[in-house]
Amino acid sequence: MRCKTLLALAALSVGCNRAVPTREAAIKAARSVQLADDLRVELDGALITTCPDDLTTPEGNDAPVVCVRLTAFDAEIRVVDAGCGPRPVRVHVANASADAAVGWRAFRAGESTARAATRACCETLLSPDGDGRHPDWTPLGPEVTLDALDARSCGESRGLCWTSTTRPGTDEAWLTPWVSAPPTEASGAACVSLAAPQAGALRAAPFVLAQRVRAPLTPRATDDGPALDFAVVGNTGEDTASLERLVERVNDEDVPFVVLSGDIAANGSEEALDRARRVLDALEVPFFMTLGEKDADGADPVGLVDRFGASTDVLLLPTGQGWQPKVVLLDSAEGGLSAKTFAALPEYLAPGSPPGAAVVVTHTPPFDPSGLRGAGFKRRGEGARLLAALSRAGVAAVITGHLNEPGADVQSGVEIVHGGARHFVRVRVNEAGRVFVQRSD
Amino acid sequence: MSARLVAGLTALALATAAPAVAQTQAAPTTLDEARAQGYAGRPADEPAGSMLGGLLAIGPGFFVHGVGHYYTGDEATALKLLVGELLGAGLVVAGALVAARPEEAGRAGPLPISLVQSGVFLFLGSWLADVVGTFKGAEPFDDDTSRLGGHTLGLGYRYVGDPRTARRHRLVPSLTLDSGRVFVQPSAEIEPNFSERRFALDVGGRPWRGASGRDHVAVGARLRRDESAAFGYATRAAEGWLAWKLDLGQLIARMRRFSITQRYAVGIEQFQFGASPSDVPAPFADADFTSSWFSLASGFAFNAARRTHLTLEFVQDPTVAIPAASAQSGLLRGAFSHQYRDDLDIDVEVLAGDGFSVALGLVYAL
Repeated sequence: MRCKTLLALAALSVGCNRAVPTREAAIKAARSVQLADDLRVELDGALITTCPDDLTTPEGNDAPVVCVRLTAFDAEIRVVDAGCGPRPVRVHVANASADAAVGWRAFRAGESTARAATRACCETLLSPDGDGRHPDWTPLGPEVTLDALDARSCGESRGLCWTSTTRPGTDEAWLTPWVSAPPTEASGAACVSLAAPQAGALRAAPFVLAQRVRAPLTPRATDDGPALDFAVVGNTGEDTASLERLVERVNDEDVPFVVLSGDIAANGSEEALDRARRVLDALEVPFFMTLGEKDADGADPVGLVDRFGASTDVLLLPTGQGWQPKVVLLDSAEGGLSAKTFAALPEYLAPGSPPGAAVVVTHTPPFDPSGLRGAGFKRRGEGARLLAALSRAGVAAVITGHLNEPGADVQSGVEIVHGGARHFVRVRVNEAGRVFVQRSD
Repeated sequence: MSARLVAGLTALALATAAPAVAQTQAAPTTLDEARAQGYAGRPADEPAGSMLGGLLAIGPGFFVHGVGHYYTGDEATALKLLVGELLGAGLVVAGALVAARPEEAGRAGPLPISLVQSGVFLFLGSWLADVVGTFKGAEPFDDDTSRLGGHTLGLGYRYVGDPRTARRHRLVPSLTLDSGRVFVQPSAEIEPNFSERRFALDVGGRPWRGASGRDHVAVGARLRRDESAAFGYATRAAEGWLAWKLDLGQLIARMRRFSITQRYAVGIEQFQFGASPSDVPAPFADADFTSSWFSLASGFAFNAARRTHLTLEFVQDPTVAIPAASAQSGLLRGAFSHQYRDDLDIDVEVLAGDGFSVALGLVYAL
């Protein structure tokens, strides 16, 4: 706000808009954490976040705690251990849906020459035991599902938590309840140093414990065939009461998740962001959020990512029925997209496998439907660049915030829905790739 | 590399050009000689410059405009400046009220943008006039040497410092045919490998011109064609504009030859999208989408040296080379035009917003 005021008053408009790259850097940084020289946690579809104040760890246990915020319905939390002895890591997931399940599988992050050759020549015929996500890793066993009660052993309704222990020296791993003591040295065989010459190339590859959190999305039957629903909320700004009301309304809507289109906070101050986050914590389903100019106004990028997740992301919606829609979040809080987002657009908008409709949620519309008001992208050339990409990709719908009055128009064949303020938008995506949008007060 | 090339060519052009026009008249050595050459002395009704008055204008004068002039005894101008301040503040408030209407929410529209920008401009302008006028006293600024009228050929280069595009070097040729009353200016802005190009035709007239010829009101139209072979789109645009430049000395004696400038434009643009990012639709192919826009620029202009004209403007224009500094702000434009010879100007333009752009050009009189 201070920067903008200076701009308006003194026209000193140089260099006050560097937040987008910094947010991107914050998102990238939140995708991994180095716990020790040879112990790292990497996230795919999730971000490291600050642990809740009320999260308690068992006494006398100093295992590192990694708190995670999911940004996907099929996320993976990998403990990469290049060490030897048993090492526990406590994992807490803040925003899993009520029916999310945890599975885990251990790997060596490499493969033998023979296995690589088998894959190269006759993968279809011989189908060597592997993992779709990591085809060139060597699995050390089948995937194991963590008991649902064990996965919720920290007592939270929506939080998942467990203790993962890796023991690369013996190719062992365990997932145990949060509250119980992790396995120790005495529970397995003697440790073998991976650096030993006799270890071989595969034994020298890092030991990876991949823990997947899957939250199934169940399409509902409609007149137009099976469809997925979600809600889009935005533009509440300083009107916290309106946000509270919308959260209550959405909780009554029986949607599996909510997307926030930005301008949820009054401004980017810590107090305003915390206030918005507290209101959003009352949502009974996970939320995913892109940012508006109010949220980003003077905000610390790390704090934004910590509270609200990734503002630019692709959210795949697995239905398990051979079709998979996706929601593409594009951060346009500064009235345009960043260079990196523009560069990644073809990948974000590419047809998925399995196929499904793409719905884009972004705060600032590429063009203001009222034209002269100029509430679209700051530079029309960039609006055209985005609209051209959306049009070519056959994006089914774009949901925007920014404009307080709701509306809809079609720009170059792309349906642009302006959610407006004090409303929420219910979006239904069906198997045929059609998108239905309904606005509710 | 291209920037160095253009800088080298510019240096070469300057080195081979004839020296600046020599002084033809010897400097006066006595007051009588100076009077004989036209020196009239300080007008009786214009106080001399004052250091203390200038400091008062900076300090408390920011809140009560005209304090500096009042201190030096120029009460009439002090009152004008105070009126300017109140009018400016009033316009800002009016703009804020209009912007608060539900239909304008989300971002200000053309009316509140104009009100707020004009208000801020008036507020800061009256303060600046108080400070400058009080420090400087009756001494006028140098004559305005901006080129007005005559036919010119421009050759320029623009560097676009915008991380969203890798295509940052542009060649900017232009031709101006200007009778003083009416002008026509075809121009282009072309990325060297031709992947980004802009062609424009400006046609305008000056229905009113002041005694100096530099003060004027101008109206015109601009036809523009943008083509992007990098991102697969093209546009056709038509823009109508109204601009004026007014010597502030007509209102405040001590600000003679210090001009304020304003430009309003409304345009409509048709977008055409190609089947692939490298596909540029034909100029007369059907449009995929049509949209309008509004732009506004406010600033001031004066001669910073005897043959060097400087213009500083705050610009809200979504069609320029780089985006505004933020979603609710604009760009700062600085333009410097040095009349190196009677038939050769050196022009430099800097745009600063979310990124920057620097243009360097030579303008040859034909």
